[in-house]
Amino acid sequence: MAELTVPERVLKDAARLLEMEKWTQSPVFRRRADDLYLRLRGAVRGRGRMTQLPFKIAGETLDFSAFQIKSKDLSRIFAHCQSCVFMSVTLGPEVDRLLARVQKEDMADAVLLDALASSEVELMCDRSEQSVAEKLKDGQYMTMRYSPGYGDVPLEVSAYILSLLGVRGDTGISMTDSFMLVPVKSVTAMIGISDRPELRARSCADCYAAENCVYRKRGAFCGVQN
Amino acid sequence: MFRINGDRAIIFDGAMGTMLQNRGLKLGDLPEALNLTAPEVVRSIHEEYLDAGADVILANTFGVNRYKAAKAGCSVKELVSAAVRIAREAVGDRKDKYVALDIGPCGRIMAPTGDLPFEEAVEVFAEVVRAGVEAGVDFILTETFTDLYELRAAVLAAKENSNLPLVSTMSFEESGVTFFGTTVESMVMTLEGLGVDALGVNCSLGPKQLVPIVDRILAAASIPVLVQPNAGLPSIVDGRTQYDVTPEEFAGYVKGFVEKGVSLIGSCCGTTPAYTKLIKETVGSLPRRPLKNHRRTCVCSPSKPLYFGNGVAVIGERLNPTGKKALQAALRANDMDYVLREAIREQEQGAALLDVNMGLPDVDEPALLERAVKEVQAVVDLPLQLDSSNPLALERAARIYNGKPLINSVNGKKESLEKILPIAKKYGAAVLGLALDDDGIPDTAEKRFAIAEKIIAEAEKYGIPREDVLIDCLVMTVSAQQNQAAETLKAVRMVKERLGACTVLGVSNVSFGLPARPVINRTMLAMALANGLDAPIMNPGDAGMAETVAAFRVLASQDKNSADFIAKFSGYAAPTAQPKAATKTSPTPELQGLAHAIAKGLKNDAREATKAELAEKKPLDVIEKVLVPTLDAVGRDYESGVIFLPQLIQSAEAAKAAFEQLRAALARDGTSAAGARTKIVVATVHGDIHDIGKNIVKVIMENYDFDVTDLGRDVPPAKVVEAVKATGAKLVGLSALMTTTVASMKETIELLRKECPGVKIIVGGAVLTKDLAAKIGADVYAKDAMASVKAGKE
Repeated sequence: MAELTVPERVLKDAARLLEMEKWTQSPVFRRRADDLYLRLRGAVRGRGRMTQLPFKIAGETLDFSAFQIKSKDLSRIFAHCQSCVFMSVTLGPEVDRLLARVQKEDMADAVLLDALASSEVELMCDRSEQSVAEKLKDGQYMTMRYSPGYGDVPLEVSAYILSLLGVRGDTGISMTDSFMLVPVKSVTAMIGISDRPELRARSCADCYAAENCVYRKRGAFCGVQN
Repeated sequence: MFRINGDRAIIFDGAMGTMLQNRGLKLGDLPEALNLTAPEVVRSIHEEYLDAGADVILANTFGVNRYKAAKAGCSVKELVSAAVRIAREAVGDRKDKYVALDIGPCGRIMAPTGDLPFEEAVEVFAEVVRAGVEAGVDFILTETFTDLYELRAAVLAAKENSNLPLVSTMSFEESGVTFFGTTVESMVMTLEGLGVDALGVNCSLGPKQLVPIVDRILAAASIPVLVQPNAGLPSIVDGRTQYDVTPEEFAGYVKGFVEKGVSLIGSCCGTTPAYTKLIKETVGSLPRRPLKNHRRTCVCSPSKPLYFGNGVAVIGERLNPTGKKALQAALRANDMDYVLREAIREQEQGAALLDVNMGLPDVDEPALLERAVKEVQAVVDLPLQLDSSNPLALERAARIYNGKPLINSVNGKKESLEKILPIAKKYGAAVLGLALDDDGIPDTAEKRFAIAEKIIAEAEKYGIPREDVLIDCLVMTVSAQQNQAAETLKAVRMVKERLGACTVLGVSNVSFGLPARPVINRTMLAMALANGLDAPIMNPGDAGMAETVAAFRVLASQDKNSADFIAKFSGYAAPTAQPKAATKTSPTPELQGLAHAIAKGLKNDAREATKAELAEKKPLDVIEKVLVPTLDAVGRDYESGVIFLPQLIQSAEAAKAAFEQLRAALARDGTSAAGARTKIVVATVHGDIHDIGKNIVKVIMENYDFDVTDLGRDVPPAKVVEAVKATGAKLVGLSALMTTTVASMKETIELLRKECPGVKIIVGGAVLTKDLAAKIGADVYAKDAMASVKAGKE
């Protein structure tokens, strides 16, 4: 039996991704999630990196001197920021292997494991974000966490983030030619450091999945970053 | 000429990146570009390390490869030749100083986790090696690797393109494995097999954290060991990375390493010439410990090293189509999932390594064996035994294997020795020697022993250590040659005792032609184990044989305190006539018919219920009267929101278990259901490497009676067209996950329209919408797996 049980938040998050919120109270669902979560934790070799860089905004361009990001959305969200935290988080490549294996064992398990892993990486992001929050000085505030691919921020920006953070490639993350992050459960993101309180919830307008989103169709919200 | 062996430690230089950052290298810039833009900066750093006492400096080539060079707008050749020229200038006329070509990971992740194919990786590193050789380096260092597979590509590239000494290191985490899960022992086995001249560990940790890792390397390695720790663990203070170990502390640890037997020593991130100076002062005049021979018979995958002779190692035999109709049919239908499921089951049943044989008369065996090895290694972490009578198949499989494989087999024939041994040598494999030669299988133990002796001697001539040769004394069929069992057992004992070689036997042949074969098999197994057999090739799912192994391990004192035995048999009840089916999931309620099992997604129940149905009905009747209506009902429940995706899939998995039984029954009858099924080719498009969505569609469609050809992920348009033409499918399903790969979906559709007019194209994936699907020319946008089924049926 599992010595480790899936944290409530990860379970709820995974259930939400699978549209199975009602099932979190089912003992069968929980037992299955516990077993898979134990295997997941055995495969996780979590790694997070972050660094802070100053920038200037000119029109729709954020100028970090070493590189520039052109984005209407970012220049709006980071309007009151002078610097930005770049972060990367990954669960590591063994999780990819585990996902591949469980897909051959049992596809239903694989779908649940995939959702658990997504929730786990989200939890890691939140912890990184928390550590940024703890270091804020008086009068400093964080913007929402924004990842390449949201809004009009090109996926290519991940390449800048990874080369910034990866002296000798030690983010543990690589990118394919089509800008996919490998390992699969990896995140790159930016958080602006603002001089005033910011609205931290991401809106559907910035989400690439908005058009097909089942939650939006139901008039609900997916809960990401809410 | 650089010599790795000598009477005192060789001192390597320290960090280059840290020094360059201190001198103004900007974050995110390629440090090697400075070879062209600021050679004097690079040269002055080399000079400082040489002045501090380094014997070896690493040319500033760590990150040079075609990908990074292209981004920096220059060529590999110019970056490498400038780096080596600068290093040589720094050395000047100093005596006994050497320049290494420094090769780090290429920054991309190898397939199957990432998208870098093995041969492309070899070529990427080969390009750097050729440039280094031309520029005149003294030796090659491949360092800081965390993926054993990528390192293996780099080592092969170095070996195939130079005769220079080669040193290889990996970076480990405190847990004792690399980021990619490679163990210390697997690294040592693989690198020694490939014939590197020295190996070790660098970067990622400070000297203190490296102590247990260095101890393990020294306990496993028989060649010189290099250690290059960081200056402790990093912390970021005021935006700058700082390390917590002073040069004095560092030198203290280094002294300990050299006293234990490390003979090449340097330092990595965060260090400066001050560290090198103290290293030189502390260990520069210490005598070097002589090398110890730690060689043992072993094979490995990246995460699972296996030492033979430590206890019984069961070699799973089921990945071999000989005599297995269902596996033959699966391979002919290109269904690798069947192989993978068998591999997973063998591991769950306790196999320590898996034999992989893809020999079928009408298939391209080299290609199939290579593919099977890649796919099995992607999901099962056991070491593999590559099994073929075709040397080309063995070579291709050994080349792309990740770790140190066991080659099955070589024998005493001249031709076999000449063909197989060079493959084992080049790719660092252990090899299984069969005790037969041009005169066939000798009928006495003494003659088989003589052949074993000859095979080991021949292997040593090729530079293969005798520990890397295992011997199979060959089991004969006892119903035909009754006295031969005793000769086999005697030969096993002789080989074990007199040659010290580890032994392997394929046990099950012994009972051919007799009733109650399992009884003979498990008794032969017990006798062979008692005579010194290390690794039986057997079906790990054979309960009787598995019990014999478990009991033997207790009696031979291999299973300490009988812990495994007690765990296995704690709920033991005397055997009954009905063997219990192996179950993985929680205990299932009593069987309630196939329809119920599928609707509830109970896989084991579905399997058993199908067997029960088959006792009364024909397979096709079971499919049409039970399976299909049940699946239709499940599909309707999903569409109306009564059940959700995981439950839909669970039902499909249960149906799959049923289908496996039904297909086996059809194969026995000689009938086939394939003719009636609708064919569809599915693929995740080129550039897309995440395919769980497509795999869900596949599982669901298969259980709605579609004949699915799955091309996998990252599939180029031409390959889709080729498969459509080969199968004659009228349906194609394409999946794309990223906005960036919708373009390659469009390309695939355009090519299909041109080459295969009339096919219906269904598309899906996270970023697609109905409009986008129409815009790129697809016929149908399917929002999920059930929508694909529907579209396919229309």
